[in-house]
Amino acid sequence: MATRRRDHVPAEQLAEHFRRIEANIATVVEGKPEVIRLALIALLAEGHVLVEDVPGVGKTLLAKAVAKSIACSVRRVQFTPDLLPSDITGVSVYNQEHGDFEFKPGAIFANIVLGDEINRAGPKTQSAMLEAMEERTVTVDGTTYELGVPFMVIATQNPVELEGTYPLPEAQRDRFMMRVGIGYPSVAAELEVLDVHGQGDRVASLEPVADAQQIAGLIEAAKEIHAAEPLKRYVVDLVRASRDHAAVDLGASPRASLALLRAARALAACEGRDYVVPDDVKQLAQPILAHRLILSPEAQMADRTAAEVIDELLASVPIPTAGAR
Amino acid sequence: MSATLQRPTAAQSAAPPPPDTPRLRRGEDVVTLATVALLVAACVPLARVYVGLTFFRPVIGAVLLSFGLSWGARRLDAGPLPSLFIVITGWVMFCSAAFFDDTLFAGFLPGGATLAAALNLWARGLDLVALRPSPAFAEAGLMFLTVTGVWAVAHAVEGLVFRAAAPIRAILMSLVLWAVPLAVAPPSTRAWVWAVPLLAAASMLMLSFAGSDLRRWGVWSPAARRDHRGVERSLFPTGAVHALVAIGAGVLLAGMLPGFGDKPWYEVRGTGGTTLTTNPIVDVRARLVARDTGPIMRVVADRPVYLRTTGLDVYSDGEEWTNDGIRGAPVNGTFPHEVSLGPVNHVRLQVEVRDLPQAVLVPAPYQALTVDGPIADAFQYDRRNSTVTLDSGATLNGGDTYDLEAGIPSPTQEQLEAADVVRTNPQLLQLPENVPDEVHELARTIVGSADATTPFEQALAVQRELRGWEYSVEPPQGHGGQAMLSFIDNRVGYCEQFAGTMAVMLRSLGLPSRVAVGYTPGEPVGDDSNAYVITNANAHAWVEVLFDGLGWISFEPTPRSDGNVLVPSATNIAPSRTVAELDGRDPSAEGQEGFEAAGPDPDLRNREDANAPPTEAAAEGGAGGAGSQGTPRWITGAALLFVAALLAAAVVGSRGHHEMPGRPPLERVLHARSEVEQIGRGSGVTPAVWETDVEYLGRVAHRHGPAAVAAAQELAQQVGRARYARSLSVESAVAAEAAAGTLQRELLGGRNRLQRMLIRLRGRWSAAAAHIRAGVDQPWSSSRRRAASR
Repeated sequence: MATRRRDHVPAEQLAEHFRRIEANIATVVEGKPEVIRLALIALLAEGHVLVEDVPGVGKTLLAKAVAKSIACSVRRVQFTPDLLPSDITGVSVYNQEHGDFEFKPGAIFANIVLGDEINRAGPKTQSAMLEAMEERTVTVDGTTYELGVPFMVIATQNPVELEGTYPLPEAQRDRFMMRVGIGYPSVAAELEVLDVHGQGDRVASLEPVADAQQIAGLIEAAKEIHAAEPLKRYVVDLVRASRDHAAVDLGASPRASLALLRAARALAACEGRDYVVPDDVKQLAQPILAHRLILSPEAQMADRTAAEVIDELLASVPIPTAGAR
Repeated sequence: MSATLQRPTAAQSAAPPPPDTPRLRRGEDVVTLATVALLVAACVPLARVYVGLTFFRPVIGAVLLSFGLSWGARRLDAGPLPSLFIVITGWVMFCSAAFFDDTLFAGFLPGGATLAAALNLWARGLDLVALRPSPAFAEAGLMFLTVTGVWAVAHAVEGLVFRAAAPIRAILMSLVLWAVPLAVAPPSTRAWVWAVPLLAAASMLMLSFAGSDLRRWGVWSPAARRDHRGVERSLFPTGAVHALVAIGAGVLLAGMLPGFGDKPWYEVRGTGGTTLTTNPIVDVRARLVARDTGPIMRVVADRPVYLRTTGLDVYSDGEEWTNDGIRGAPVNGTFPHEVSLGPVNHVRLQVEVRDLPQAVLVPAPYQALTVDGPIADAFQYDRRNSTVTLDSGATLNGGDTYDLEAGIPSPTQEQLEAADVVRTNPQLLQLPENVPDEVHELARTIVGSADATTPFEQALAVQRELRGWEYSVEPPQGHGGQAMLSFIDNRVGYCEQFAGTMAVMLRSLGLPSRVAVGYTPGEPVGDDSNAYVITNANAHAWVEVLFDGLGWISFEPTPRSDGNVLVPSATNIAPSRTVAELDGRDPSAEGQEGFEAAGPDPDLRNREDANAPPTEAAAEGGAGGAGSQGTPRWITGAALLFVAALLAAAVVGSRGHHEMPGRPPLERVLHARSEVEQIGRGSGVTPAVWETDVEYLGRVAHRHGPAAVAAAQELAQQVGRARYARSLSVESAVAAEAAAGTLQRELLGGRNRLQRMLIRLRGRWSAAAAHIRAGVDQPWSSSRRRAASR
């Protein structure tokens, strides 16, 4: 691993990898390039994605396609109210042959974990999942098990059905690097879907274009992307401004600043740049910041949304510039 | 091999932008012109501190030469210290040539004598600053200080603009130079007359700094820093600090300038009585050299008389003859007189005013007795200085007439010999301590040589002596200590110097005397022998001495070349014919012989060696005086050459204006962007602070076709790289410049030349205005720029 870090993956090469994976996924998830891109950025930035949208727009498809494209282990967990924390983390089972306890890894031990309808599980199970996500380790019966690299959770949540669900508390949502909505496909894309979907499971036929080790290399390379001093300042300015906004009760945390910069680095890498520009930050502000804001009751009554607040911030926080403007 | 090795070294040394002396990268020609204009504009208000325009040539010469030397030294890659050395050398040469030209070796090398003369002149200049009321004549001492000051300011401004790239501080510096004279002299002209040239030059300088160089404005400015919370300070505290510094400097320096705190020249105030404060002696010279030679009064009188406007009975520490102000009391037809008169010759005269603009002092003979006429009701009289004036608010207008009856004191020689002077009023004898000893000494020598014992004989002796000197209205100006010294050394001067010096000498001898100011009798009009026309050329000053029981007796020390004077003699104290009339000659001819014929002591001029002061002093004083009169031609020539060279440089320089190779890539990229931004702003697309380069350039290119959009994207990408990448290659700069070029062509396509110019102009202005509004220079930008230029 250490040797890998020193290997410098040129930005162009990184972008090339990225485009290949992106194109691969796009053959299955039609008409949603932004969503694919965001998911891959989260992967390179070591973040987790919360896909929140109505049923049937392809949430699960997206997650499966991502996992399939990079030849790594995938586990899918269908969250239900009776799912137990140990189903996620794993459990120690007594092995009579060896005469000691053997650890049976849970669903989280995979490179990509697809948590379907995470809001259907009980809070206890959700917590177990989120803690593992944050710490990238699982501790069972006093033994700590490291999770693999890459490790990404793609959780989906259905905002329509509220009955029998346990919506993620805001504090827990903070653990997801970004929240993306998929949205309905365009007419053309939907027509395409009709044509193509009769021809069997296309995800199954998807060929991996990268392996876990390559992805780990890309993750390390993305960390090396240069973020100039004024740019970091912009990230901080933006996040701080979210805390001072009149319509916001609880603004974005320092974890949000971290996530924003990390994702911006990944985005720069995807575009073949070895430096971050403010446009990267701006592009990522919505998916990374919006789900972390808690609007004031007045703002909620006035039907304002976090997305609007973020837009306002983007149109007011000055861009720090290196050199003269 | 060795040649190929050496080449890069030579290239490196040929293009060294030393990081500690940041240079202007572009538009230097415009900046140079703007800076020169700024300096010249800052010197213009000096016109309020100096009488006349003689000060202007040396001052402008000094500004241009000092600036030119600094400018040239910098262009030759001299560092700040060598440049300072060159400028100081230039100052020494300039001042030597201007003020001490007869102490120079071989006509141009200053030596020990020059240094001694310079130290003398410097000390004298400092004295004059304390003594002179404003406006002062451009005396050598004052000019020496002024030239030195503007020399230093010009050098500093050049350094601030070009070396420190700090135009605001340069403007501030010029502002001090500009504001000080305005603070000294009372307002006589509307402020904008002085302000407009300066503001124009300043804004020209600021505009020429617009674009990428704008950011440098605040390198040392408090606005460039952040406070402990990391919040950028606003422009207001900065502005306040700068303004306070300027005001403080102005106030402190103002106290050191000629005439600060003196009474203003001229003011009318009060109701009921009229109070005037005047310094009409200056007015005399102004009238003497005035171009306007038309009649200002027409007088019909039995005999030629002097018309007084006022009497000056205070010789102040300011070394000027003046008075305590004029407080008139209503006349009601008859003038009350203060002192008892002896025998008088009665004169009746009618005065018709032709052109005495805004005059409030009424010309009248001494001693006026009664007045009649349409405006007689408005007459007022101040007995202390025998001044006729008008009700407050009233002035003499063309066409006004008044009839006067006057009694001109005409005692006999015996009465005068027998009379003593009035010694009871100490004010009429008072002299300040700073009257040069030479004046006292000369007075004693004159009366001693003439064996004059009675006050009358003494006064006549001094008059006789002075009438032997030379009259000229192009004199070393002033009548203070130094000018008086120069006057008695050179024996050349004009009426106010003759009268002022004589009155001082008489006071020094214990005779109560004052200077009368007014007009000589004027030229008789051909057809009517009783009518006289008075013009500005008749403005005059003479001396009055107060004899006990006889009143104020006039003496005439000035050998006026026109002979239009009434010279009292021992036998005829109140002559009824002028020197010219006695001569029966053309009044424009030399007047000296006329006086000689009237009976002076023919020996007087042969005694010169007895009275002559040390010749060395004469040489030094003469040098100082001569220097202030005119600048050597070569200085004017050099200044003109310099201006021509600047213009030529501007023309040549404007061609290579936009070529930037050799500059650091960062600067080239940002410059390319600012060029585009200029056009964007000029077309009404102003960048917002929250807008990224991609967004802004995209907006600029929007609706200008796909080529423009593609170029904008390319440019934005290079700008992003320039601003945020670890390193920047020359290729990026080239690409950015190419993209900016394409984009500009696309944006300006279809516009004619005038429209393009207007768009660029608007853009520049908008950028400058935006910068002023923002007024901040974020710390990382300057540090990054420095890093990039290394």
